[in-house]
Amino acid sequence: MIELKELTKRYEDGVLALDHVSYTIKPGEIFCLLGANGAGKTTTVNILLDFIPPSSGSATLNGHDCNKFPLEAKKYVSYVSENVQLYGMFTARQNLRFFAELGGKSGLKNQELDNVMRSVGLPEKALTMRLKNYSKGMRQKLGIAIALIKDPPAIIMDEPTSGLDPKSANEFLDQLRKLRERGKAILMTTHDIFRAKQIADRVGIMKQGRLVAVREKADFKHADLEQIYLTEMEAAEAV
Amino acid sequence: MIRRIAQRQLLLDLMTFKFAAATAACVVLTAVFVPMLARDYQERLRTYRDNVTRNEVDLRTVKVYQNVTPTLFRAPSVLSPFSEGLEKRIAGAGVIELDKVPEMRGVASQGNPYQAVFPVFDTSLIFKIVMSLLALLVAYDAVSGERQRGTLKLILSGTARRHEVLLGKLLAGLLVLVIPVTVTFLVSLVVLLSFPPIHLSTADWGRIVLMYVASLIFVSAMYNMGLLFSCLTRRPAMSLVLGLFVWIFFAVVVPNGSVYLAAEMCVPEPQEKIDAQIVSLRQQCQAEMEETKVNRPQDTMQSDARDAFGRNYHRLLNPAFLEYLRECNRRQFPLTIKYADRFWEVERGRLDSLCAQRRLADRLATVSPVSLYDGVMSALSGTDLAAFQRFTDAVRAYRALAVEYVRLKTDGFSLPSFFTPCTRQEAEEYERFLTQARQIKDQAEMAAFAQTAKARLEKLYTNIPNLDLRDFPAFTPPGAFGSVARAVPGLGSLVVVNFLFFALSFVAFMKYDIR
Repeated sequence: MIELKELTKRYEDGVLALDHVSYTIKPGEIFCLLGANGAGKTTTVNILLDFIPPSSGSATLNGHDCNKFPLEAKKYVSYVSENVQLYGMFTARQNLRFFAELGGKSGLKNQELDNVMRSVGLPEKALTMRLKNYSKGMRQKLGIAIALIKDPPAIIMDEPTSGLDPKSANEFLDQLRKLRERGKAILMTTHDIFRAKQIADRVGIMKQGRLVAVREKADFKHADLEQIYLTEMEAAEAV
Repeated sequence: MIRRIAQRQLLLDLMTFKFAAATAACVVLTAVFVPMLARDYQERLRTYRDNVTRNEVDLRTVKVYQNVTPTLFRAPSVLSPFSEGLEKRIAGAGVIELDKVPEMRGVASQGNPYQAVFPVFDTSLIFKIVMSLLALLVAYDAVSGERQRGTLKLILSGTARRHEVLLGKLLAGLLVLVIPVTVTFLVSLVVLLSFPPIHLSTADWGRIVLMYVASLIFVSAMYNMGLLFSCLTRRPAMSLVLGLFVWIFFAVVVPNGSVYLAAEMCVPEPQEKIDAQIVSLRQQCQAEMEETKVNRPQDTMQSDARDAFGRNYHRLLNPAFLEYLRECNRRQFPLTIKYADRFWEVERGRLDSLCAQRRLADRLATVSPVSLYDGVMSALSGTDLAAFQRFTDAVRAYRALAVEYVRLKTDGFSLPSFFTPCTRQEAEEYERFLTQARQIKDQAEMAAFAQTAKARLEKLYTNIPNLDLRDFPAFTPPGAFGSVARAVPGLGSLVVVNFLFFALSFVAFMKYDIR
């Protein structure tokens, strides 16, 4: 479970990146965070992963404060970044083994690693291929494999579909559905409203550090999410 | 965790082209230049041994004590292929003269003359350039590269702590650099030992081990410097540019700039002033000599012969001249020695100020790890300025021993054996012979007299006894221990530089913005 309570972040240069943001992502739920550049989406991710400290409020992962007990909190989360380059000179298997070991999963057999890579849709020949020969889509799949091998209750994804071709993006969404079925609490930041509508159980709309709206699946399942997004943004502007 | 990160980093570094290229460059440069340096050492060693043997032969055949003027030669350093230092730029011999403070001079055959024209890469130069650059290239993207690849976020999103990541990288970087350092040393040793006359003593092996350790510490310092820039910048290109800039500062600007600065800060006494003091002393000396002057007899006769060390001596003298020279030496030679020491005191001032200038330059250069390493390597090789100073000090101390020895043997320079092997009896016989010769007017009689005299003179000239110098003090060259003691401060400073760079990297990485 991912929980944010009155989370606020003001940078040293005075910019208010997060302004009393609160929400909870339950197990088996995909929460998409929408917003323009600078809205505070990545700042949220950075605080959850203890890359930066919050100014006030709290962010917890499975009940562990990300700022006060970061190592404990990070045991319960995996991270998929926007541009997963990984180590080009290593094979997919070597990359996966290294990050698995960092996540506390050491001594895994090749078969186990290969199964995880197969489960995210990587073709057989790609398992022992060096990553410098991988496409962006394949790298993104390996990024998910890295997140999966740790098997945490929560997954944080920062712009994971950015730069993916439609086929790869659809395959990626399939993977997300499987993760939801496995009860993972997933936070995904994105600009891609179309994909968010397809996959999200809830969407949060952010503007200038504020969470201006949270919409349930029922609100946008048969509606135009883009229109909702624009309306909320205009409303926030007026406020 | 540290081990896992180090393992992965080690593999990554070993698979890079820069590692392969730099290791190959080190091995090739070593394989090309160490044989040249070893051959050059061989040549210098041969010259040294020839000179020492010639000197010993001369010492066995010297006829009078005033001609006991051996030359002391500085043995070439067997470790010079590791660091040439000042080996061929400083004097290699000192001539012991009783009435002069030893002058240091170069040795005629100093090995391969082309080496003065073309740059020669000794092991320390290879490390100062190639290995330090490799260390920088291994380290420059250790952190900023991970950030740019996006892997730093992935690593730190797990349970790895920041200090574990940094220590893992340090460990891997050092392990990577151990390989070319070790290979280069092994190649150097194999090449060096393949030259037959080159023999390494236990002390030499000890110094080689210390050189190896110093090289590792130096390379580690350069790695930590690269790591610091990697932790200070967000892009690897920027850390590389910064690293190269500082490398040029340390490797080129500081060593040359420190010499220039030292010359400005520590100006030696002008030569004109020294010359004026010498002239004044010389006048004093002449005045004192005048006071102790002995009247030269009217009738002086001598017959000279060639002695060892390329000197002459009076083989035969008439008794009056013999007595005159005895008295002269008894009174004036101690004065000559006294003034020789005073001349030296004056000249020493300038030499000391030149050495002080050089020491200041070395101290100023210690801000650079490259200069520190250079100092340590030349000290351990025995090719630094201090090694030269120790040799000249030993030569001067030895001269004092030689003077004392001759003083005792010749009863304060007053015995005839100081300047001639001619005995009183021979002197009288010589005088009689010359008086007789002067009295002969007839040519035929003179021819007959010459015939008789020739046999007698030949006997006198061929049966000249050599001095028994078996108890003459032997010269003991300065030992190798001093070089180790001189290297210790530099080694300590290199260790401090390591800690400093790593501590700064640590602080920078703790605050590093990985976004």
